[in-house]
Amino acid sequence: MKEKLLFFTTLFVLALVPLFGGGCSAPASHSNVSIGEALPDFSLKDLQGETHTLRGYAGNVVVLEMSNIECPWSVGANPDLIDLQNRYADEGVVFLGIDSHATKTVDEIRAFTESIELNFPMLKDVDNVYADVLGAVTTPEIYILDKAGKLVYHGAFDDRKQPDEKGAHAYTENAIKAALAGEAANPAEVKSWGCTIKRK
Amino acid sequence: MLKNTTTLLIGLFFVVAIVGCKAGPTVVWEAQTVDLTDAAEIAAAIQSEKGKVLVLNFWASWCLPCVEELPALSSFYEQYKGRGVTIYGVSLDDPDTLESLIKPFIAKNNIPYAIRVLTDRDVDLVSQAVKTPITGALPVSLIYDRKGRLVHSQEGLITLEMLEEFVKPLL
Repeated sequence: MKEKLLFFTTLFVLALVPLFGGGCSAPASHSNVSIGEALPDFSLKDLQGETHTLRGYAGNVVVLEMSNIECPWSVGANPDLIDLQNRYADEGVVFLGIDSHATKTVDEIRAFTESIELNFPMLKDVDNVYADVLGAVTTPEIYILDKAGKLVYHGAFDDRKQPDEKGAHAYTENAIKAALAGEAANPAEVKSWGCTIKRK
Repeated sequence: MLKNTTTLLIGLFFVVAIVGCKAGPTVVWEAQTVDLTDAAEIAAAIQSEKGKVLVLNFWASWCLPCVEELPALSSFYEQYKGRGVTIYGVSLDDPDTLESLIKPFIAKNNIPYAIRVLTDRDVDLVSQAVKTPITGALPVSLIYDRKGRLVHSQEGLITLEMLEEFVKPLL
């Protein structure tokens, strides 16, 4: 009886070998911040030279978008972000773009944002300092904070298959609605294909 | 009797558990071919290239650094294909544009190695297939040694000098 018990116990344990030794685990996140955590503060200037801090928007739902004016994937999301800003501004949702790209100047970024009539501040992250703090690597990459300053969503704007085609799942808007309602976003993290942030 | 049987079964189970996770269909992407692919086939292609050094490059025609690094990848492939190096390119362009955009782009840029266009966009699934967490940021080049082990992950543009630095020691 004891031998049979040992036999089947051993088989059960060995059945777990592929799970722990076969490389079937989920990939680790690259982010330095986790859902439910507060984002580190920043002090970044917009394209007009005005300084913005994250703590300055405490009490608001905040949408941060890691942006890049030469990335089609990031550029493609701009009209949708502009639309969201228009629809959610009255509910106190704050949109901030952050450009950490090493090769783009403030003048170049300003000219582009003016051409598309961007309706929220674009901040220049000199030497990609804040991108490094966050562990951000892609554009666009969205971070949404609830009114308590906690991260409720991180990742893709939506699940678009092409840069300028809306996806079927509006992750960003759904997370904004969840944050306004004081609820958890679902999904809370979604990776997406995009452009690398060209770092200094 | 039970002891011997137990030992035999444990040994067989162990072998199946390990080998069963690794075995799969043989997938070889011939040079200068362009077709669709998915995460499962990518995993099989990596396994099938054991014995060679494999550079797996994720790119898209809309990605500026991806296009910028194509000449370096093509040149490196031409120099080293006879020395046991393979390059596979995986495009994140729209699969529906395979004939209208992707194939003409590849022909125009004289890409000499195999290209496949990814149909399933789940970054986590692809990460499992390539045996490392990738962020989804393009371009990314993954280098596997002759035993199929990932030895280097290069996120961002890769140069000819980098390719020689990372690949030559594996030859």
